[in-house]
Order: sequence, then structure tokens, then C-alpha cells
Amino acid sequence: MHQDTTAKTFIISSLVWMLLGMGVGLILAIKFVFPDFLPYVSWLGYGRFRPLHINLVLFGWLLTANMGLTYYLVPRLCGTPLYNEKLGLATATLWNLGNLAGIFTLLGGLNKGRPYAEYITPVALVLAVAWVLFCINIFATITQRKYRQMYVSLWYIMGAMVWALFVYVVGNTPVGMISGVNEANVNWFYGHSVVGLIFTPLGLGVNYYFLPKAAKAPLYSHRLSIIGFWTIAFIYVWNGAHHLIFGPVPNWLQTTAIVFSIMMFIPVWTVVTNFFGTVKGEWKQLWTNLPVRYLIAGVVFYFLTCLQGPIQALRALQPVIHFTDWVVGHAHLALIGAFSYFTFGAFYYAVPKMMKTQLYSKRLAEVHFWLTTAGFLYFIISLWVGGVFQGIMWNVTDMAFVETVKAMRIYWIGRMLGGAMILAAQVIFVFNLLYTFFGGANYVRELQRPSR
Amino acid sequence: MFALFFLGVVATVIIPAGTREWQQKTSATPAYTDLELRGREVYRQEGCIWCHTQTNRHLKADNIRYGRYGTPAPPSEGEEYINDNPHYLGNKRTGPDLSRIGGKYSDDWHHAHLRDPRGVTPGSIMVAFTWLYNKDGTPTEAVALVAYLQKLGTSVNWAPAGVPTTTFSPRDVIIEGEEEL
Repeated sequence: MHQDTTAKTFIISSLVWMLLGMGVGLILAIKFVFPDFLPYVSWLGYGRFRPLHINLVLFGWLLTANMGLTYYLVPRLCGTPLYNEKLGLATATLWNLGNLAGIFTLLGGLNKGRPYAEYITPVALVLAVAWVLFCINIFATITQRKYRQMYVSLWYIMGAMVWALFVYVVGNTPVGMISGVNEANVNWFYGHSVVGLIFTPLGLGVNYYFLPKAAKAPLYSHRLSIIGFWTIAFIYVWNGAHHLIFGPVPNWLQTTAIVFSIMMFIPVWTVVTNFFGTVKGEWKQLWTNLPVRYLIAGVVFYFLTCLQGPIQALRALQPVIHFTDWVVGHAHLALIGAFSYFTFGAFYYAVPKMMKTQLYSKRLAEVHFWLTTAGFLYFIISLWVGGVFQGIMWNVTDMAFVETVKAMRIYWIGRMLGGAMILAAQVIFVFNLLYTFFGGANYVRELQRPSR
Repeated sequence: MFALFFLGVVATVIIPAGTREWQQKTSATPAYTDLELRGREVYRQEGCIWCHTQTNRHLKADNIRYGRYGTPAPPSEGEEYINDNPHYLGNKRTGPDLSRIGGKYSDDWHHAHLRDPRGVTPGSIMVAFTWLYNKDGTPTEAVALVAYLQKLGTSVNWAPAGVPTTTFSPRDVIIEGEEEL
């Protein structure tokens, strides 16, 4: 039997970080429309909140959630209890303390100034130690496994754990050893790999487990999933410089990054084919089975993200979309649309399983899905349309910059309202899950009462 | 797996690090003064990087937009950044690019603008950095920040002679004037 204490701790922690992180995101969105919202105090300034939002949703919400799901699924795939629950709890404590320290340092203006690696060294080290403890626990569980053959989720999760260490080491090359464009190049290698070599394999590993489980259907193709794994391993590393196109980096480096960006179609195709193939003939489950609906919606968004990514890297599009709000939309498509949706689906499946009960309210879960999706589409379409418009205006060189800012207001209002809908939906989601966690047997009796 | 990772790192991180114009020795870019370095600290601390890039790309639209008095600004080159640690190339333009801002406006303009952006440029959504100033409006940390901003992009000799703008940028004046008519 599985104890799941660590998994539960990580999952509940991630819910708290999610509300905080998305709340900060909403404040930022409001500041675009009402720039004098929360004025006069340094730690309420946009420049302090923006890195906080990124770090809270990336490392507080998504990574914590996926670590929790890893603690849930690895013992089950290995047919053995988690190696050490106490170590797991210690890891959770350390991890949460690291994130908490991160909040205060960032609000205090202490940051490394490198996008996606803002946490100052002491905070980053606490998180790194927690990550190593996590890896030890998971690897030890895998070595104790009962089944010799390893399911593809284990491949992806082990990959993410090892890559995270590689990426971390390169990305945290000490400030001072490198400078200028050299540092920017390392920074973008790191920034891109955080998403590509940590969140992507973790998210896909989670989905490879939960989609067949939730849909009660076998995985479409094991061979495709392995091809996907090795092509991700090969191709993702080369993409960093596509963030610096037309910038002060050598042309050959830009072109290399563009070519490898286009090659990303290969792993994406294998992943998407595999997931759609798994639910083929089972499409009615999109209406009846909530986890499956979330996981498949996530795959659709993943596919869209990965269509955008390579095409955005082309020199033909860069002059219009680079530095605009389009890119912000692209980032949210990956992190909300794909990876958060995977996590939502997995939570709806795993939490009742862990608590040996049913979800508290299916109706609230339906509201969560439709409100999140509607808000998210409003949010993201505002950013895409606005971003292209913004890029075109910037290319009209006799238009004063401030005029382009004024023209964007309507799109930023759309983003703010969409964001508010997303946050409201998550409050419902967290309530529903926490009630399932702590409501105990009380409501199950209610659910079992014959309906009117 | 490690081999694949290592291959990518060598090709896209280590080999480019040898690019000649990224090397300290070959660079003629003057070092920052202590005040300017302090200004870079304020820039980092206040998160200016989240709304302002410092990359004038190899694109006509960028060069013309960030040029002055009809002279396009030259694109940013690697050696100009050689003393930048951390780098501030940026990834989002909510506000304009700053790579060629040095000398465009007077110090007084910058202080007025940092303290009350919408008072100087109606429609701006920049943060009002009131905490970089005393209650009576005299700058504290803003002195260093403005010194840094005035340095940006000046290691390349490109800007045509002219008096720094004290009220609005030339294009803004024309547009504001048209609105009044």
C-alpha cells in the first residue's frame, strides 16, 4: 500500500504557490492598465513583482506539483513503496522554505538579474539541495523496483532529474566569470532548457502515466515515446540563441538555433501522435472523463505551443513579434495551456485515488474547466492579436513609442480580465481539491445519498 | 544522454564564447565608473530589464526608431556589452529600447520622468519610482541610475551634435502639437 505523505505534501504546497503566483500575475496585469495601482512602495513595484510571478509559477507551482506527482507515480510504476517518506517530507520542507525565502529576497530587490535565474545564490542553493534529495529518493525507489522493464514515464522523469542538474550547473555559471553577450548566450541556453529539459520531460512523463490510466486505454506506441525522448535529448539543447536573433550574436549561431528549432517538430509530432493515438476511438471520454479532458486539452495546447515555437524562430517573423506581447502569450500557452492543464488532469485523477474517496464536486470541476479555458483563451488571444499589432506599430518608425503603448491598452484590458477569470477558476479548483483532501468521509455519504 | 547534452553545450555555448568581439582584451569599450556601476545595481534591483531591452537589433526599424535627428542609431555590437555583468539585453519591450538612450535627454528630464512618468509623457505606463527620491524631490539612488542611463550606447561615436531634449522627444513634440491644433 502507498503512504503518499510526501506526494500529498507537495501537491498541497503547490496549490498554495499557484494561488500566490497567479495572484501576483493578476496584479501585474492590472498594473498594465492602471499603472498607478499599488504605488509609492518599492517592493510593490512592477519590476519586483515580475520576477516573483515567474519564479512562483515555475518553481513554486509547476515544479512542486510535478514533483508531487512524481512521488505519486514512481512507487506505483515500480510496485514498491517510496524509498523514504521521511526524506521526502524533509525535501518538501526544504523546498518550500527555499521558495518562501525567494519571495522575500525578490521583493527586497535582491536578484541576480538573469531572466529565469533570478534567485540569489543562497536561495538557489537551498532549492538545489532539495532537488538532489528528491533525485536520491526517486532513484532509490526505482532501483528497488519489482518490475524489470521501465515504463516510459520513468525514462522521462529520470531524464528531467539529470538534465535539471546539468542545466542548473551551466545556467548558474558564476556571475563574474562571463559577461555581456557571452553571458546573455549562456542565460538563453539556460532559460530555454529550463522549459525544454525540465518542464517538458516532467510534464510529458506525467502525462504518459496519467493519460492511459485515466482513459483506461493502453499507450498507442512505446517506440514513438522513446523516439520522442531521444530527439528531445538531442535537439532541445541547441535552441537557446533563437532568443537573440538579429542581436549581437554571430549569424551562424542564430542560424543553428533556427534550424534546430524547426527540427523540434520531430519530438512534438511523436508526442502528439502518441497521446491522440491513445484516446483514439475513446473521444466520448472528453465529455465524461474530466482528467482525460484536461490531459487532452493540454496536448492540444502543447501542439499549438510547439507549432508556434519553431515558426517564431524564423527570421521572417522576428522583426514583427520579437520583444512584443505575442511572446508573453507563447510562454503562457506552454506553461498554463500545456503543463498546467496536464497537472490539473493528473490532480483530478490522483487526489481522489490517494484519499481513497471521490472528488468532492464534479460540478465545481466542470466550472473550473470551462472558466479556466474561457479565461485562458480570452487572455491569450488578446496577447497574440495585441502582440502582432504592437510589432507592426513598432515598424512604423514615425509613430512615437508612447502612441504604441496607448494603442495596446485595449489588449491589456483583455489580458487582465482573462487573467482574473483564470484566477477565479483556480480558487474554485483549490477549494474542491482541499475539500477532497480534508473533507474526509462526510461528503462521500452525501454523495451516496440518492439524488432528487 | 550526457554526450548529447555536452555536444549541444559545446556547439552553442562554449565555441561561441570564443567570439573575438566578446573578449575583454580586444574591446575598446571604456569601463564603468563607480557611480555608473551603482546605477546598474539600481537598474537590476528595480527590474528595468522586464520592460526595457538594451538590444538595438540589426533591423532598419530599430535603428531608425532609436536614432536621433534623422540619423539612425547603429545596431548594438558584442563588444559594447563587454563590461556588463549581469547582462541587460532584455526580452520584452513594454517601454522603448534603451541601448542608445545616453545623451538623448537631459539629466533633469530623466529625473522628472522617473519620478512622474505620466507628467512628462502622457500615456506612459512606467512605474513612478518615487522611492528613489526624497520627499522634496531631490534624487537619492536615482542619481546613479541616471548616470548609468546617460552612459548607455555612448561608447560608439554616432550621435549627431545637438542639445539633449529637455521636454519631449522631437517626434512627441510634433504629435502633441498636432493634437492641440
